[in-house]
Amino acid sequence: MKRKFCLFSFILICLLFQTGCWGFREVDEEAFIMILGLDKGKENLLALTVQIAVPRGMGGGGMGQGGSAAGEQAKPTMTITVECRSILAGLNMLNATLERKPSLAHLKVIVVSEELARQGINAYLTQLLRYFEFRRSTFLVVSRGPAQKLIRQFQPVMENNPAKFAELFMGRQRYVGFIPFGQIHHFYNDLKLITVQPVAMLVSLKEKPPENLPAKEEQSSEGQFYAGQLPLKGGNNIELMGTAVFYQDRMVGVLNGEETLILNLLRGWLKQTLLTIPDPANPKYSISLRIKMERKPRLKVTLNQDRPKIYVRMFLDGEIVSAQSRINYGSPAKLSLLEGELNKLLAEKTQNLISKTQDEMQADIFGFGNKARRLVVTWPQWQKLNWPELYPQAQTSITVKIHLRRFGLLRNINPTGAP
Amino acid sequence: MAFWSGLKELFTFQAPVEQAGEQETPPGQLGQKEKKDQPKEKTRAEKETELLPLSPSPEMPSREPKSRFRLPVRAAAWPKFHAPKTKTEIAQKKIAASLEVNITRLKEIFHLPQNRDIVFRDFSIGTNPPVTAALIFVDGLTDRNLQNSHVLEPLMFLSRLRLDPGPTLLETIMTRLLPGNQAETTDDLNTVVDAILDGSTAILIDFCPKAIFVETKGWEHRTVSRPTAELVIRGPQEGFTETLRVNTALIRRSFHSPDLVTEFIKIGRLSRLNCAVMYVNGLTDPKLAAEVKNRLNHLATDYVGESGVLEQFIEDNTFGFVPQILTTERPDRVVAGLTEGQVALLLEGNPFALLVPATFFALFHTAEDAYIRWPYGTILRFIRLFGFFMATFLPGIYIAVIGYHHEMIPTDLLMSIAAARENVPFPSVVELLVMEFVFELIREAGIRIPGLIGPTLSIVGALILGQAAVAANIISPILIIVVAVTAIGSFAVPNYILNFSVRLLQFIYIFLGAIFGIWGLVVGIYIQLVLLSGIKSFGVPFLAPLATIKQATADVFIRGPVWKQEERPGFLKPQRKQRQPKVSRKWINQPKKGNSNASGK
Repeated sequence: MKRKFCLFSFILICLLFQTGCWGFREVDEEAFIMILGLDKGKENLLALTVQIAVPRGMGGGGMGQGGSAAGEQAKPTMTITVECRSILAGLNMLNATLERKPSLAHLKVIVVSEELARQGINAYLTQLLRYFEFRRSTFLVVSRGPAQKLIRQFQPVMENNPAKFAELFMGRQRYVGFIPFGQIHHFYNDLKLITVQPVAMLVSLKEKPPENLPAKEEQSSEGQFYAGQLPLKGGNNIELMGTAVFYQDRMVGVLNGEETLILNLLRGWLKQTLLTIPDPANPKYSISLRIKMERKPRLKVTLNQDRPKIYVRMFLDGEIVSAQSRINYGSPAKLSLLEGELNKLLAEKTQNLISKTQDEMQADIFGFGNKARRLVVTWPQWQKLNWPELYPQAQTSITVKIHLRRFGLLRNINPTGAP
Repeated sequence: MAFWSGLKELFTFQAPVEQAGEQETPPGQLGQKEKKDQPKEKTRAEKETELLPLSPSPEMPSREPKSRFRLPVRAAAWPKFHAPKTKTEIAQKKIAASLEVNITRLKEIFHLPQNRDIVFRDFSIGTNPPVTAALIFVDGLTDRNLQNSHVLEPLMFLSRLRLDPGPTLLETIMTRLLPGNQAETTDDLNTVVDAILDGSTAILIDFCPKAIFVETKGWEHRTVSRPTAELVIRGPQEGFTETLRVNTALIRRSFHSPDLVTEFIKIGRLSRLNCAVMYVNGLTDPKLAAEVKNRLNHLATDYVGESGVLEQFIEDNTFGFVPQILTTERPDRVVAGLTEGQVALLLEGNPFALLVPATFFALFHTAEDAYIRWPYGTILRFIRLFGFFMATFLPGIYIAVIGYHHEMIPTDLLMSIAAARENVPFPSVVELLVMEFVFELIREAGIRIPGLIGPTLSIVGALILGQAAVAANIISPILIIVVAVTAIGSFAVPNYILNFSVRLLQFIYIFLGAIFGIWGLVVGIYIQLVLLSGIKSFGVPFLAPLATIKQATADVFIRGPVWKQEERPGFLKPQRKQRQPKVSRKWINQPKKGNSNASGK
């Protein structure tokens, strides 16, 4: 009995050791890639730029390092560019100059140059998506210039670690809304469907703002810029604003910050934002509002005589932060006036955005197609319907319902006396 | 199998037959003992011949050339040599009517004159006519003042007073002359011997076939002091001492019920220490009490000196890696256990009580949980469980994550770990094992180190662990944190024995984590859970009430409000299930005028 038990457990232990992958790898045996850049290569198809974290420069080291590396602080990152046929091939080639194994486990951002994006990125992305080290929570951004230049020049001011910059920045944008929510997972999900087209964030190195800035009256919103063109001085040397719109895997157009905000509202990606609009009573002044989504927008698609009609109903919840004109919008009469004005304004902007995607890009980035599925019953009918073709012809009906609330929380909306 | 028995034969001592006769009479003294009941006149030679039938040699002639070796004595045959006392023999040992005979027999039993511990004090009781008597006691175990003033003085001097004579001398002495608070008579010599060894004083009187033994225990002992391992802030501050009677008194002092029963069972065939078995009659599961007594009665070993040894003897799963018996040095803990239906065991000369049966979760309870309000008690338990998990799994998880699952670490943390590791020459596993080993070393040395030089150790330990190893780039600072958290977590485990099991398991999980990663840890936890749920402690599943038996009050993971604990733990199968009625705070149902702020039950 005892002998049998010994034999049994011996075999069991032997079996146990057959299973291990024996992949024990110390953390200092791997090179963690933080940012991956994809450019169109000169000779080959692809110019792959990787930014690798240098732990000693980034972590600062423990107290043990005080003595040895006191003087020169190592650079936090190391950037390598390699011309290759595909991303994984490029990673392999990296090892010609890299002593550690490149690892994608901590990849935070993939930067694709606009040039490459307009060509199509499916071939490169799908390869990554199937690779086990790759995380789908990685952010996808489209760079207006070459990705390599962006990666090499970008050095966040407050952060030592560009990956941390990316994480904080994307998290922050849910409260501003000038860039879409762009993790690769969502991009890939949209890529798989023909009913909705993917979008990505737009990034650029800081350039000179355009000469002809919009006149003051025209500047109805602070979001009407594209990345790289904002009238900003100082700060980090990159700007993220706007959306790169894709049709399938090819980039077909860009949206500015304000349009992106509406896109975020329509897709339910926004937590809250601050909106500044001209005062309806006196356009010289402006009103600042905090806007939240009351609930997700209700979308509906109908078909009359082969022409679809899209119904959008948006429900927003707002709160006046300040009114420069000192008009007490808390009073019921003024309130409905302001609400009506806001509804009109937002509906107009939404209408403009949808028209823009219909006319310029022919890309349904809002997911109306998902709602259009219920117009048909069978798969052949759906194929015959051909939503991507149909979308540009669609009519729209947009209703925005904003409820301004919580006036009670403001002691007095006009602190220095009503006019 | 044949291989093993062959090995065993190789290593077994086999005595030649020539010496067989001498070999087989090692229990010479015992042989003499057994002769007590034989008539006194027998000579030494006769004794020798009587011993012969004990040995197996008669049928095997000793100088037989063809079988030069005899089989070694098997373990099963040992009792034959060591414990010749049977019930009938004991029964035969009656006290003789002659003082001289009794004294001679007792002297023989106690091996006088070599043995100088036992005092025989001859005197005469001052009756008319005087009767010779003798006092027998163990020097040092008795209180000499008590003996002088309460035994010898009345017998020698006060007996001359004019007294109404009783029916017999013995009765007169018992009723009128012996002011000791505990005095008993017996006609059994063994009882007398046991009483003498317990610290009583035996009085033998000529012409009297009975002996008196008076309770005169009075040896040096430690007074009741604070418990050392189970300190609480709120609650009684006394722990058990080495004196059994004091310990039982400590329990009974806070349990004023006539139902509390204390039985004594002698443990150890040589040492014969008293073991008190305490339970509540009418509450404790009678089967449980019977099983405990059964195990104690059938424990065939020479010496059990410590409750820890007793625990190892009577536990169910001797290869298990968790304690299956609750050890405590707090009387209040024992009382709480008794009222729930557990059985308590106290061994003489031992400041630790054993509570059976124990469950896994009871090992995380302390006395204080119940004494403070329930939210705080609950938090304390969570902290302890967290400490247990930390101590068991943290090094394993650390090594698994560091070696296999880099994506699980937040990027910034990964960078600082990697940066700290850059200059460390050893693999993480070696690093971790070295540090754990060094820590175990410090812990062990800290216990063994003489008190005066204790601070030296802590200075050296702290410097080596915290400062020098990191500064010299031998160890990465993150690892120091891991080891420190592990150590602190293991100290949060309230049960000292479980603490050892945690320290052991921790190494197993380090190996699993280093070889198989998180998968190995999961497999390890699974195996551990299977093993744990297979254990039973005195018939109660070890993981009760989590596994197999579900009836439980809110006193397992969390410590519920006291008024809510209406039932005793069902897995202990108490005879009285109800601890208190559904409404224990009776006043809340009383009619009130106006405001009713009653809440709860």
